[in-house]
Amino acid sequence: MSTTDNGWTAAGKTRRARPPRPWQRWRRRHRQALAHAGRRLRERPGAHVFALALLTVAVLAVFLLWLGLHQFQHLGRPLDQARTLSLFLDPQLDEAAAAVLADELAADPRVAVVEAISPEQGLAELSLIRADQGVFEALPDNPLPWVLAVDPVDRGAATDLAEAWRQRPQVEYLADEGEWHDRAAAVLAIARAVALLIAGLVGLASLLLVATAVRTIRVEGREERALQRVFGATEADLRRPYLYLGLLYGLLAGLLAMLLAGALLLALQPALAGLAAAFDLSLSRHDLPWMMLPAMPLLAGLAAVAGAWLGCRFEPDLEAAQ
Amino acid sequence: MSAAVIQAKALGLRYPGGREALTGLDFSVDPGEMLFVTGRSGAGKSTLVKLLACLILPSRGQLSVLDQEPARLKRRQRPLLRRRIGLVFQDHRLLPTLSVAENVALPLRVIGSTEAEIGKRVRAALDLVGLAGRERALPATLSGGEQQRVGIARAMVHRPPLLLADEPTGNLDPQLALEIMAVFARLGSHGTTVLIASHDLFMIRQLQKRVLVLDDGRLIDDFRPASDGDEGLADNAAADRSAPVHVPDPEPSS
Repeated sequence: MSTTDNGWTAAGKTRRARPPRPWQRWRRRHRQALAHAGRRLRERPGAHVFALALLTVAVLAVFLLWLGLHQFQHLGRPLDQARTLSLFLDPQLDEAAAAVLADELAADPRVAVVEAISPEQGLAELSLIRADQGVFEALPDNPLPWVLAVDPVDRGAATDLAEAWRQRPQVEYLADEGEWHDRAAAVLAIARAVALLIAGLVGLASLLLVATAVRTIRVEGREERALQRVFGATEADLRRPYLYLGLLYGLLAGLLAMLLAGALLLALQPALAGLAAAFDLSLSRHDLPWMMLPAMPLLAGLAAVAGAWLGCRFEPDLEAAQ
Repeated sequence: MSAAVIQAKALGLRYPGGREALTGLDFSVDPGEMLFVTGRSGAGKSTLVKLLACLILPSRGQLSVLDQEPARLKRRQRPLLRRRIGLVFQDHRLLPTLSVAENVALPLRVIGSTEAEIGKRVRAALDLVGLAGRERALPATLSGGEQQRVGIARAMVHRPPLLLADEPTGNLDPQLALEIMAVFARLGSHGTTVLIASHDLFMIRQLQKRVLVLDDGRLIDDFRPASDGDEGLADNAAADRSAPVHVPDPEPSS
C-alpha cells in the first residue's frame, strides 16, 4: 500500500488529476497571495487609509527633497564652472598700457579669455545697473580705471593666477568672483547633505511605517498562521501575502504621490524658472525631472516590500512556539 | 528504509527544563493501521502526537514518519513533511471568522490547490464526515460534535496518508464520541493510518484496536486485539449517521 496518498473521495476512488508543474504551483501561490492582500485592502479600507495617507506624504516628502537636490545641482552647475578674475588697473595706465598687459596675460597657458573693459564701458555698465544715473553725470570726469576680465582655464589655475597678479604694480585691485562662488558652493554642499539626510530619514520612517502597519495587521491573523504552520505552510508561504500587501501599499502611495508631485511641479515651474533666471540660467519645463515621476510608485513599492518583510520578522515559528 | 508509516526506536524527549517527557519508546505503525495511544494525564500522549506531527523534535533516539526522519530534515523541509500529516485537535481550533468550508480548505490552500480542486475536495470531505450542506455555516453555529467533525474534515481534506488526533472526543458525550470514532474508522478503511491519543478507555474498548499504553513517558504496553472489532461500528451505526448508536454502560476503568 502506498504511503503517499489514500485516494478517497465521497464517491469512492476516482481518477487522479495530473499534478501541476512547479512553476504553475509557484504562479498560483503568488496569485493567491496577491488576491489575499487585495482582499484585505478592499474589505477594510478604513483600516488602511491613514497608513496609506502617511506613506503618500512620506513618499512625496522624499521626492520634494530629491527635487530640491536636483535643482541645487542645476543651479550650482555654473558655480562650478564660472570664475572670472577682474583686474582693476592703476588709474594712471592708459589704453596702450592696458592692451600690453592684456596681451601678456593672454599669453599664459592657464588663461582662457582676457577682455579689456575701458573706463567708458565700465561707466556705461554701472549706469545701467544704478537707477540714480544723475550721480555719474554730476562727476567732473570718469573715475573708473581700465579693467581686465580674465577667465582662467580652470578653478585651480584661478587661485594661483590671482595670487601672482595681486603682486603686479599695474594691478590696483583684483576681484576674485570665485571666492563667493566657493562660499556659495560650500553652503550648497551642506544643504545637499542635509537634504540627503532628511530624505534618508523620511525614507526610513516610511519603511518603518509599513513595517508597523503590517505587524499590526498580522496580529489578527496569528491563529490562522499557527494553523497553517501545522498544516505545512513554510515561513515564506506565510510571509508572501503580507509582502504583497506592502507592495500594494507602496504602489498606491507612490501613485498618489506621483499625481501630487506632478501637480506641484506644474505649479512651481514659474517660480523655479524665476529662480533659475536669477542665476543667469534658463529653466524650461523639460528641465524638470518628469521622468522621475513614474519611478515613484515603483521605488515606493520596493521600499514598502522591504518594510513589510521587516514587519513579518521576529514571529516565533512553529517549533519555537511549542 | 522501513515500510512502516511510523517507526520509533529508543525515542525520547527531554523538555528544556530538564523534565523527561518521553523515554525509550519502541514501536512501529503499519500503513492503514488504526491505533490508540492512551495513558493518564501527563503520561506523554500529547507530546507523542506533537512529535509524530513534527511540531517538536526528539531529543534522543530515532523517529521515522512517512519514510522521513524529521530530526534529519532541514528546517525548511519539515513543513513539506507536515503537509502529508493530518492533525485533529481536542479543542477543534476552528477559525471563528471563517465558514466551515473555508476552515476545511485551509490545508488545501497551504499546498496551493486550485479553487476548483478546493471546492471539490471540501465537499467530499464534509460529505464523508456527514456535514454536507453546512459549508457556509460559521463554527459558532455548530454543535461540539459538528465542530469536531469539521476539524476531522480539515485534517484529512488533503488526503494525508497519516492522521493524528489528540483527544478528539475529550469534550464530547459518549454518543457523539462514537460517531467521531466511526468517522475515523471509515477513514482507516480507506487506507489512512490513524493514530488517536485518548484517555477514554471505554471508547478504546469499544473499538477493539491496537493500543499503546504510556505511563510517565514510557511505553508500558502495546496491546493488539485478536481481531479488529470496529467493523460493525464503522459499517452500521456510523455509516448511517442518522441512525442512533447503541452505547453500552461504561465498564469500570482499570
